[in-house]
Amino acid sequence: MEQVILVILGMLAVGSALGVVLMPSSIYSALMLLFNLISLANLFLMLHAQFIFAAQLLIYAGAILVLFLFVVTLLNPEGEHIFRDKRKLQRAGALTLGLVLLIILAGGLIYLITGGPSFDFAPDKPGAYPYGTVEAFGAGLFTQFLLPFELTSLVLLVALIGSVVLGKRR
Amino acid sequence: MNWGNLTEYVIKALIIALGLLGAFAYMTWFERRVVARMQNRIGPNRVGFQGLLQPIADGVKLIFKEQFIPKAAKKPVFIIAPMISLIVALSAFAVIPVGPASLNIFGAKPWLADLDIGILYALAVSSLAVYGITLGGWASGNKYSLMGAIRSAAQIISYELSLGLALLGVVVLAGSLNMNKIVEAQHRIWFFIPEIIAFVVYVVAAFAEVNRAPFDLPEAEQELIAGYHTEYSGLRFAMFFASEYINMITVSSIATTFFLGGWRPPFDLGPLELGPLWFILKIVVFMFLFIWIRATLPRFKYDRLMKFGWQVLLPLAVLNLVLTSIVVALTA
Repeated sequence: MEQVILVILGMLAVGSALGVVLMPSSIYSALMLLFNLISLANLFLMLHAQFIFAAQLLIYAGAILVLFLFVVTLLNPEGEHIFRDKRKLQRAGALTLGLVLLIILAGGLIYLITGGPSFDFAPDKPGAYPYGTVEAFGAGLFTQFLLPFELTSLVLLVALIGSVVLGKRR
Repeated sequence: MNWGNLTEYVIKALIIALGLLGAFAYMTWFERRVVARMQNRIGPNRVGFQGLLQPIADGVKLIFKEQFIPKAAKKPVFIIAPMISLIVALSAFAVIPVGPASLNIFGAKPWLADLDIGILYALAVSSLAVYGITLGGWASGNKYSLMGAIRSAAQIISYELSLGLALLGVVVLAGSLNMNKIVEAQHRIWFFIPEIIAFVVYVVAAFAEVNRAPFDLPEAEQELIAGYHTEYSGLRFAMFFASEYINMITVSSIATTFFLGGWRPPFDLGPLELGPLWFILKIVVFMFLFIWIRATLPRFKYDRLMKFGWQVLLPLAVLNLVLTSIVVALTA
């Protein structure tokens, strides 16, 4: 049962990701992105990562994509489409980068299938929080991954101050 | 998961969906009657005893009305938008417990899902509500609708932060995101007493979140006709209308669960099995508050609304969270 749902969700995610690129109008691309984010969130849920599920919906679908939609509905850019783009250089660059990404992802997938690390969803030691819960996530964030976490917050702070400065400069 | 469980979920989901839709229908009657009283009128009292059949008559009327689609509308989005609104409004209610675990019918507990991330689920799902409004307004191909939609999106994103931060104070006190555990943690004292700042912030932000007066700028009739649902009629309008009222019920039930002890009777009077009745009573109190405020306060100006959200509510919510955390850390 879980396998079937996983496969269906995966197909939805890939299909909607294709839709983001191929849709004729940017508002439909944004909608497809919403669909994609929701499928991804549900994939996380199927993988027992409850917190990431909620965070994905709250932050990406609930806040960031709304801002995308904001811009799209206000500016209403029509006629921008990948197949109609005349700039040769940009098109070649996009194709190369896309190919590189595809190779990296395929490589990772092959590595995972042919004897990569295997994952165990049970807690490492007795008394630890089960995998994917908010508690396990928080404990990891404030012990093992404290430095990256603090560095990320620093980067976010810089971005915050930067946006205030840009907004004030008028 | 087996088929028995699945039927249980389906039946419970149907009960919740139909219950919420019924509650919506009678909310409209309640609101019209109460506002009429406050304005020294009588309100609808002709259809059935005291006008009690009025919502049914309205429903039938809306079903048989023509569903007009304007020429400038983007048809697929125009049709999907009200559906998104209604689906999101109905699904957010799934994690809210309406009674104690001891109250069960053939072993079926009085909640649909007992998630460990309970409140995060409710917040995550209701954060999608803005799509229905934004898309509906944009797809109408009408500048009033678009203005209403944009106002609404900005307002909902701004107030969502204060809303979530206010709830976090209670989460810190209860030590869990699970709705049942939060109700359990209030067996000695309801959280609106220690968390009074959070309670006030939450209620104000909730009014803004569901676009109700005095924060009903997205549908300010003097400037925007009816905002994002100007072009909608018939059943599609009913969907937008229903989702607004169901969102009101959902934010009220989250407030009840987090601050007013959920289904717990005051001072644990009487049997706990009467929980659902207390729960409904508390929600009715909130609904009355919504109506009362609507009949009392004039609408905010848009810039004031944004300023109030970012410069008053958000700092208050953060301050409350810091204070709560310090107290919890010291007493633990």
